[in-house]
Amino acid sequence: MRTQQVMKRHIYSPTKQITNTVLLILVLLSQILSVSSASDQYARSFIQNVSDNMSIQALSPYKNKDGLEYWPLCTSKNNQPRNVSGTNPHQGTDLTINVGELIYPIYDGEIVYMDTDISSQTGYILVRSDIGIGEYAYIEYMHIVPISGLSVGQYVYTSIPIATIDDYLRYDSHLHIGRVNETRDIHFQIYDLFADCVNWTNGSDLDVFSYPSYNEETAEFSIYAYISSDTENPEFYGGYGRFRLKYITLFYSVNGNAWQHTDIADCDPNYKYTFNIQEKTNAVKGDTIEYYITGTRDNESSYDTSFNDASYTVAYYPAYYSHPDAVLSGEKADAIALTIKISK
Amino acid sequence: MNDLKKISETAITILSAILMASSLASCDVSSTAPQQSLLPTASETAEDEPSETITDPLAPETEVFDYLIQYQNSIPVLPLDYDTTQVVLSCDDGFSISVPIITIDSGMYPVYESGSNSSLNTAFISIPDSNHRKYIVWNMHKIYMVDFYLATLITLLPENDGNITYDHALSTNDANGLYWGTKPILSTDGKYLLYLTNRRDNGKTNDMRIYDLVTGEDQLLLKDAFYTDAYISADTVFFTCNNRLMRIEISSKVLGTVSNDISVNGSFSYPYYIYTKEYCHTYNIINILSLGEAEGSAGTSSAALSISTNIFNSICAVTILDKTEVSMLFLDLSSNNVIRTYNIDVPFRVLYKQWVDENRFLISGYEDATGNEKTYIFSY
Repeated sequence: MRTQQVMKRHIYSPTKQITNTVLLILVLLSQILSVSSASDQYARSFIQNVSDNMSIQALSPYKNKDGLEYWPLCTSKNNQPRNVSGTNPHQGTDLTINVGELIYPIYDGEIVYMDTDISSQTGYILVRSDIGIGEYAYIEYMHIVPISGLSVGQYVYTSIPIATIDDYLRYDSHLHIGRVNETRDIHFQIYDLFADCVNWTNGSDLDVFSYPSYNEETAEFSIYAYISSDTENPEFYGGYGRFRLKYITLFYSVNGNAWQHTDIADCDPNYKYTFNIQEKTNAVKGDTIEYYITGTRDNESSYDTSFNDASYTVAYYPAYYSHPDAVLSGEKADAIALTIKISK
Repeated sequence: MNDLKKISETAITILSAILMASSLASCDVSSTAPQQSLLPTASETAEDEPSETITDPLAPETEVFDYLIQYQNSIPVLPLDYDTTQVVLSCDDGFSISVPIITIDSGMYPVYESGSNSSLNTAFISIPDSNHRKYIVWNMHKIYMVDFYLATLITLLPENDGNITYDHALSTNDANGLYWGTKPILSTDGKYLLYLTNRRDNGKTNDMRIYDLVTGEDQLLLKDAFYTDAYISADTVFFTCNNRLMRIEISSKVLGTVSNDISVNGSFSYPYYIYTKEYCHTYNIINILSLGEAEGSAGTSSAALSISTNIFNSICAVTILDKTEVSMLFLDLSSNNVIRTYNIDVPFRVLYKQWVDENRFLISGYEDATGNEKTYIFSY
């Protein structure tokens, strides 16, 4: 495209020159816009920073008045590619809770931001909590109606509701919950907050990727990866299901060499992918492997049909960019890659 | 060896039954029976109700357990170990439950294990006059009735609503889930079951419906409506929705407003509805029959109140939280008089709080400094 334009500029004609100048400006503008769009696409929206020294486990945001916790189904995980016009992959986790139900904070803490305007069904509360990990945890609750009288600066408690689920207006009634940074533009993984919760598969139901593990002795790498979908399934009493990814892809660079990749489709019944990273990468003792993983959601599934024909299908581990392409350039890959050193 | 094991198991069973029976029989405030041999400090309860406000340190009217306990159907469900029987029941629609139950006399009590039972999303609601054998349970989509004695699990609501069938509603549902029946609330006499459904209009709206457990009649109570909490008297449903407190007569379906200005973190104790006015230290009591209102306050201006009414009488328990300072008071709604006040003397974080019976209220959580789990039972 660019070559053609340069060639045309060799044909002298005042009219054409003006036209070409206008065209050139338009092209430059479109390129600037395109760069700007790409920049947004690669803006940082996620952080993968698991705390393994968490002394306080989160409670469910949904419980009865006595404190018995309910564990609603997740219909869209954090970092999940989805078939919608909103953030993609999903920045946060959707829980299927019906209109009018009471919502409780998952930790005691202080309200640091609120939006009580519910005209767009985007009522919002951000609670800052000290959960014993050396930094505050900021938990957001959205699509809610805050309890009247609540205000920024107020301390809230896991045993007292802070909101009810808002009625259908633009979105189906549900709770959007997430752990964010102070400025609310970066989302953390959330599964580690619920590591003790069997109902949500120790939190794995809430994040596309969870519990990565590497065994130095065997060079075996494992990670849980699956979809929690809002697809209705008439054959299942609950109407929902957990769905396999089409495959995950290991992207790797050994000792700083060119990035390569390999697909891995097999997982165990609990959606745990296990592979020998040394064998997959042909690395030898002493080599350094940089890697990241993508999970591809099946947009032709005969089960997870609400995702059929979706154009955006990938989730990244580690999650980082807001809307990355399915394959990263070297620079973009280097920025997020994790490192393993082969010791055996 | 086997005989020894049998004898030992039988002894444990008998012991458990005795302990459970004593626990269940302890509704009387004058009861002094220790609840469990595991208790570090089981103490006597108050004999008389003082009419004036008394601020006491914890002892001696409270019982202190050194770990978290929840109660359900008067059974402390966690983390105590009982001689339970695992019951697995399946419904013909594919839904199944696997739940441990305790048998005491002829009653059969399910044990809810928070966070560990993937098939349940509800506490069991005991159906009155079923001798603790029948319960309501729901799974976010449908409402079921469990009969532990007959070992049956059945769908409670009809699968057809005029031309709408469950399968059709499921396949056409555009919302974030089909609720064929959800949020069941049982009347205290066990006759009516109030529930919410979004089966109509592709799931975009909710209806309030009421099911008669005696006749099996299932009728639409209010279209395009929902509730946060509700109470069913003999002939009227009272419910909260956003900032309104409403009433609807079951027979005529006539809807009326009790109040247009409430917060929904309240609780019913017929004929009273009590709520915190500004989340923090002030509270309001509405008599929903006489429409009389009373106001009060507890704690300091930075405190938050959580109010728990009970189904037995007009006494409610108000938990007062000011960060890690926790106190509670018993309030008589009929007179708006504080009966008794307690302060927990160490920084404490509350996880659960609930009535154990008509006299005893439980607060469970952990000490802020040590992380030690602890449960207090207060009596007025």
